[in-house]
Amino acid sequence: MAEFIVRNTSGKVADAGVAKEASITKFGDLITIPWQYNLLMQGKVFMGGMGIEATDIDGQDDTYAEEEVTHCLKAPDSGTVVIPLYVRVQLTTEGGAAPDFYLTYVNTNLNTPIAISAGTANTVINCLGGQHTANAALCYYTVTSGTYTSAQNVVLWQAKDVPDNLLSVEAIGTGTPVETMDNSMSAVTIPLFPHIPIGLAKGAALYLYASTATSDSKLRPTFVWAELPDTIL
Amino acid sequence: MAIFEVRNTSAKIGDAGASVAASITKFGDVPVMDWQYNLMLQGRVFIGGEGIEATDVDGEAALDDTTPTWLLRAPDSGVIVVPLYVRLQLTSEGGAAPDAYLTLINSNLDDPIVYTSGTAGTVLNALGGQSRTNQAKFVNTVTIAAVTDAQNAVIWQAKDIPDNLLSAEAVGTGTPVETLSNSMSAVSIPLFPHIPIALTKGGMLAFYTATGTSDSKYRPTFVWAEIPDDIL
Repeated sequence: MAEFIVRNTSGKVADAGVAKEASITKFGDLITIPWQYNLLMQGKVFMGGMGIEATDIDGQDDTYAEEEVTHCLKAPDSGTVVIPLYVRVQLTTEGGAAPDFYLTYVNTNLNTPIAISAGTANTVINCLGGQHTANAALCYYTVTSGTYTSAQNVVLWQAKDVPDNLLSVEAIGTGTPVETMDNSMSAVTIPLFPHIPIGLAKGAALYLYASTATSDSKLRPTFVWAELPDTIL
Repeated sequence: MAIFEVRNTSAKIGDAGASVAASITKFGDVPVMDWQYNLMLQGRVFIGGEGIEATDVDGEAALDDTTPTWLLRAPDSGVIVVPLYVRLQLTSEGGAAPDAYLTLINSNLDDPIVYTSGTAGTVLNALGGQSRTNQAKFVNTVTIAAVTDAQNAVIWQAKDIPDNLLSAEAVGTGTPVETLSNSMSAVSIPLFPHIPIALTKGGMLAFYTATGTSDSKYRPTFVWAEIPDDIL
């Protein structure tokens, strides 16, 4: 059997388990598919966040505390490697004075996962339409996490100098540029893929915090991730 | 043995050393794993920086090539270090005329510039639970041997930042303007490659706009591909 065959269509050539030639174009180029889109077609890519009419989630209403996680994407202790592809954070309520925001990568490196003792599941949808395979990752809000140290987390993104009145004043017409979360004033996009390859496994997590000293800020996150069985490691 | 085999799952097909066919999809395409993600799954990608509650590190009073504030350095032998991403977050504005630089230093002479001292930053393996540790040196408050202009090239710099960036400029004294690169009236949502979506079986991408009085108007651009659904 030839190793490659010219194909000019993307129709099915065989079912799983069949040895077949790989596709090349009419001019001999190998046709490839990005791994995350192959996983998507297998029902292994998920999107977690909140629906349009959902009630946004309060952040911390006091000083930052590592145990009080506003939103998280966390790998189970075993069975699955969770690969975050994309995070978007939308501020929807500005809260009180001196809001702080963080996205941090938490990994003990010690095969002793940091535990979550409380949390509520966000909406999670399979990115393949009609696919009902459930996610293994924990995409939660209002999370109570075990403690961890500065040696067990690295900040991926933060915004600490956002003005107190970002939404009600700065973002709607005083003619003043301000420290913003990226350039949209109230939202930031963090495209982890392809620049920041992370494989959440054995309880490792992305923790998202909103911390405001007085009344709560609220965030509406979007997490996108792929899942692989950890037997591949 | 066949060279390729149709597979519709990403489960393990063999342990290291096994001779097996490479995967192709049901429509004959070859799935390609990004090399940096393959390295990550082998525990060979690392993330260095500071934890949320860490104390930020002081910079210097004046630019001095022998005293970098942070440094990523490959060992003299043993590994190649391929930097993938750098983010620099100003957390204290300091005094007048702040400067910042990111530069590539390379002696090109098989004669490494000597590293004298520094304090290790936090480094995590990018694969959860992976015990492999980094070989590169990721340190702050550094002292190295002198670096000539012929041995470094600036990758990024910021020299015209106002003195009061955080305390004044960033919190409300300037004027926003619409620019090509920083539009206040448009948003780009690059679904590929960050957000893999396959709309089938009634799936939709919906854009809503609602205005209480006269209508808002938008000029949208949607881009999509179409594939026969018997490939699923």
